Amino acid sequence: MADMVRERIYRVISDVFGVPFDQISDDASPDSIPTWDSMNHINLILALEAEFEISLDSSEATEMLSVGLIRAILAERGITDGGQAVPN
Amino acid sequence: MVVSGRKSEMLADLLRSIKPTPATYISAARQIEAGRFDHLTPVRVGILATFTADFLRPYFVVEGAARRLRVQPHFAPFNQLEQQALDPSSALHAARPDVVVVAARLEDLAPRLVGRFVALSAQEIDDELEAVRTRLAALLDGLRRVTTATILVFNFAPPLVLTAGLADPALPVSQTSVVQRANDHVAMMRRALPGTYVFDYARIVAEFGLRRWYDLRLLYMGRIPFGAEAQLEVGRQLARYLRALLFPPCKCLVLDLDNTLWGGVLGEEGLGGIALGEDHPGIIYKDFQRAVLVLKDRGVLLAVASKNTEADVREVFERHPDCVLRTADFVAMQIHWGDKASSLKAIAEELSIGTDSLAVFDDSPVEREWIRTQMPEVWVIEVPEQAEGFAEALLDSGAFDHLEISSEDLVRTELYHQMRERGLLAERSASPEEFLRSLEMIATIGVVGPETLPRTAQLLAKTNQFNLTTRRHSATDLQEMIEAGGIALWMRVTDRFGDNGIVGVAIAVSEGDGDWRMDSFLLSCRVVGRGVEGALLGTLARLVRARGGHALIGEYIPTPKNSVTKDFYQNHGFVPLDVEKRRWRYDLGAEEMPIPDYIRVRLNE
Repeated sequence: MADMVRERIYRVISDVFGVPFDQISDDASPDSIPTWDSMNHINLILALEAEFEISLDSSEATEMLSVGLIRAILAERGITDGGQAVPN
Repeated sequence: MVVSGRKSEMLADLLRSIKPTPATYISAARQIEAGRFDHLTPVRVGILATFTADFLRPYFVVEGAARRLRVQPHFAPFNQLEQQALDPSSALHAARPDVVVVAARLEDLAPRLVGRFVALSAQEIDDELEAVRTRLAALLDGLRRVTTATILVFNFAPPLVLTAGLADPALPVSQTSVVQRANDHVAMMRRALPGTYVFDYARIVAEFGLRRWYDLRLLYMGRIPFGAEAQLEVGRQLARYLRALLFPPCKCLVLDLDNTLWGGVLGEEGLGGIALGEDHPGIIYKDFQRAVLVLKDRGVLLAVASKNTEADVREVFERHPDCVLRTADFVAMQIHWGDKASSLKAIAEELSIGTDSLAVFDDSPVEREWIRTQMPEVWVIEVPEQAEGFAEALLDSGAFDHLEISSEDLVRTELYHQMRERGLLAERSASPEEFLRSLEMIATIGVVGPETLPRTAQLLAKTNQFNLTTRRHSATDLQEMIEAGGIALWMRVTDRFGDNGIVGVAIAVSEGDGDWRMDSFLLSCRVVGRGVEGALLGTLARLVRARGGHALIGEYIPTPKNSVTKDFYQNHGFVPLDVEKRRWRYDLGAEEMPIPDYIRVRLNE
């Protein structure tokens, strides 16, 4: 069960942006991923919502500007692997 | 359509593993667009929209691949309809689309009809509708002048909110009726323009559910008029329409019997024991039979392949009071204890169609899998476990999708029965000539016009055997060739037993120096072997001569399927112009080309 949420987030990032899974870290952001444009950001939000069966509000959606932030925001919703969420 | 082994398996695995989520679709689309699967039919699609349509891309591509299409979408810049459509040097036309999708929302074309509707007078409503109609008509017309691509135009979904609320039906002119009128205009527009079809967006949204359709965040943030699930639905439907545009529908539905057309096993329960009637569960199967009849009405041929005893089966079709389907509704029956793949091959042969034109509906997963492995070219319809879902699975399978129904379609089963009667007759005549003469054939030949254009294009698209050049001209191409001065003829053949319908097409184009090249010459397989091609050829020769032509140049382009036409030109007195026997010449000279004397030829004025 360990790291399941982190893995699922990384899997979504990999699918939406076309980045190899093992190249993803919490630092990944629009600065490091060229395909992370505004259109794909919307796809990312929709993909996370489908993956975790949640509904994100506009402020959460606009704040998700790195993988670390995504993990933090989801952790605030109770979606986490346990232990400390990683703020950025 | 047989696909090569390994790569098709990889694609099949990929498609099977996809969950209906944005992430998996985006990832799968990336692989497909990278060209990893090469047995798909490429199709370039240009999309013009008054909204942000780009999000449809991954769903369109993946659902296209599931239907053996490699969709290459080109999304025009946001809200640039006329700029992209009417300018021949635009990016849209540079992309050389095979299909152009025109997607306009009523909210964008006529915001007053959607927003402040209640405040409008009847005259204002009419004016708004007329403005929409005029704009759309000019757009489609202008588009057609620049491209021969097939056009798929969206109609309009109902507005999310009815301005009058509950009182809409009580209005002198309801908002609902106005949207319907707008859609009627779209439907009429497409009838006037060749190669144009309606994408029934209104119906798609209704079936999905208007409330679930929108994600308001996307609508307000990015002018995206559909949520994630709806994006998938539109992508899927676009792929479905595309498939219907590019591939002919299956010609024949082969049905199993036990637990498919009735509940239970006939051999065990007997005539009185099978479930078929007005009560539950028989009503489920009776309704399914009605759905099957709907397909027959649309032009699909019906056949049976069942492991049963023939006498038992005939009893049901002839005597069971609740059996909606009768023996006469079927054009072929394979009822024996042998394997189903052989039955399918026998049915295809009996009907003179390819096995790739067959679709099978069988409740047994084992039989379906057997057929899939033995005959991958057959369309095996996905059958749900519960019989309540049979009718929907049948009609929604996509196997019989057709964007138009022709008058030929409406009588197809009848035509095939007549064909069989003629086959029987052949056994009793003394000689081939006597037999042919006894058919009392009349060939009516006419110039292709608006009414005969659809059937002509249909024949060009699907005739494989007696087709000398296999050129798949679209309705639009044909129109152009005619307008440029070409001669395009249709031939209808009737005989003692009835009307075969339009079964021959001939197209000749002037090469400029008195030579007329035969671009296309074909016969539907149901009239092959009777010499009627001589009537069509002879008439073509006469018409070419009347236009000042000196010679007919025959072209033969060999394919794996048309070897029956190998000696056609030789048999009709043409001389070969090259060693490979691909180009032939017939001097129109003083004498007329002979026509078989047992066929009466009539010219349609």
